[in-house]
Amino acid sequence: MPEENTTQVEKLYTVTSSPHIHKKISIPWIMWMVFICLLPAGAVGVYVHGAKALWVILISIASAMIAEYTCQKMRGVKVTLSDGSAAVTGLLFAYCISAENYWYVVVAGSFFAIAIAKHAFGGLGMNIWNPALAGRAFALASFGYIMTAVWPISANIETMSGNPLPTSGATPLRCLKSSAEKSISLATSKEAAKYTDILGETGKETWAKIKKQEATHWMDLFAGTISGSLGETSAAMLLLGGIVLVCLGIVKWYLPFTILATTAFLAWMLPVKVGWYNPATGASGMDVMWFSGDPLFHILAGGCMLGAFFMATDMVTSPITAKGQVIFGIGIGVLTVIIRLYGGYPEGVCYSILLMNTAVPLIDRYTKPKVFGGRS
Amino acid sequence: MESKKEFTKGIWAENPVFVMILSICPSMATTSNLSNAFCMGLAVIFVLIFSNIIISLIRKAIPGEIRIPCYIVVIASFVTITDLAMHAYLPLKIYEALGIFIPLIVVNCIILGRAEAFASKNNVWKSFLDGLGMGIGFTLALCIIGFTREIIGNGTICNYQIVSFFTSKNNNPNAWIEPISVFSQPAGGFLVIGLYLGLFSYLRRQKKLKEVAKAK
Repeated sequence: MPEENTTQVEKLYTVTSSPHIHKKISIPWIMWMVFICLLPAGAVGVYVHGAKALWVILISIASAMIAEYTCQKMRGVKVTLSDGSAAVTGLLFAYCISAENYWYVVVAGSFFAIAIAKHAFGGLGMNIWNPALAGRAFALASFGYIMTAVWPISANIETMSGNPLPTSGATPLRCLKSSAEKSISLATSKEAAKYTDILGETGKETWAKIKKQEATHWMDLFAGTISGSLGETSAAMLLLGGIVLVCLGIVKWYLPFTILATTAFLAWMLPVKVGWYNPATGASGMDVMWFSGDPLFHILAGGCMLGAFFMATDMVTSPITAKGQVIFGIGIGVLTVIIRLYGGYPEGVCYSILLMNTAVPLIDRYTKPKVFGGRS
Repeated sequence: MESKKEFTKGIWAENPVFVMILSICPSMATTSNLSNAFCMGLAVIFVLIFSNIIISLIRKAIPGEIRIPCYIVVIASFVTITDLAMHAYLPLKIYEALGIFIPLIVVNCIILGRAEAFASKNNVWKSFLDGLGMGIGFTLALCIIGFTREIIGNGTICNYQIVSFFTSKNNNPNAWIEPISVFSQPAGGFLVIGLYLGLFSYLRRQKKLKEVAKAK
């Protein structure tokens, strides 16, 4: 009888489609590994920003978990809280916002990240955008002031380089951007002579002064003793976590590498406009400075490390092939630098990753490997 | 009985926004608060009823080859009346908020769609009921979207603040919780319409499943 035959076959051979080679890596293992690798940077964040940073992290993770549970119950699918994907999203969202935040901003952003950016698109593995970054974009569009203007830092922290702590609370990237813009308006104003402490005799001199005065020392950027988003400050801890992920094989090295390399190269190469004033002749003007940026500053400051190692590498929202990932990484680097140098915002990692996430299906389509035996 | 169905179909079963997904552009742009949404809905009801009646009256006189220009002329006349009347009698703030979307009712796909699909084939009474039903369905949809967007995005209903603790920190520094202002921006319009489309298609599917179960 045919029916009996089928069961016989199924008993003897497991009939499945490819791939047939399996590796014992599961979603929970990957997610909890990412979670653990993220923790050191959070610890530095809590140390630098104080206990309120811990609250932000806990509220964010809790609301992400609650959102995950609610959405999965509503959709009638299996509740998979223990796989850690919601916890990682919550943690990442907490890392890319300011520690001085109202609780409802954290709850709204974290909830949006899970409920809309992830479950409205079909749950884990179906989302187009990185949920944590989508949550951040949502919070930024809704609560502009608290998301961009309030950057706290604990008073009892000493900086690594011995420079005084920034008192204005502005992030290093914002300082650099606004002082370059300020130098132009000062040089073109009638009172340019008053500001010789900022303006140099040539554009090159001004730029050197700005970099010396405003750019935070790379040691502070590396250690994390700066103001900024909660978990983005400490480049060293993010690098540590990222390297562990690369060693575990969860992240392929070429994606973070292309992002950081593109950012560094373009930040060094692309021109910056600065103003100058010559007290001897009374002349003033504006110079366009090519090949003069500070690449180290740009890859250590802002969300570059966090984005490159933990957000762009999200398996769901990054291209499949190595070639695709390199294109993806270069795109992120280019957009980041363009937004940082010429855009309205001081930091562009969030939007550049979201924009390149949108392009992933296209990248995947054009980097699809040839079928064996197929023609080009 | 049949004419009652012509009236009710526009409100639920063939709701222009949530079922036929027509006229999404004004329902995104004019729903940032409830009063704008309601006024836009009223304008569409008026134009829809009268254009349906007139087109139904002259349906046998319109040559098939140039029917769309004929419809446009009829619709445009009523839109002009509406535009001038609204400018004269509505608060200027609402008129300015609706802005270009009142003149754009001329090419509104609900009105053109009803003219083409219904009024040009049915008698005056049925066309009137169809226009009224579709117009009310559209207004209801707009009001639901506008209400949601205004209350979440701004903490108000028709520009009246409901509770003192739910407002932005600029208005009241002691506010306990702030509205999520993205909902009163265009991005929020997409979000709210998307979520309502999902909700209503879910409800329709549940209803259909129940009917199938009953039939069995």
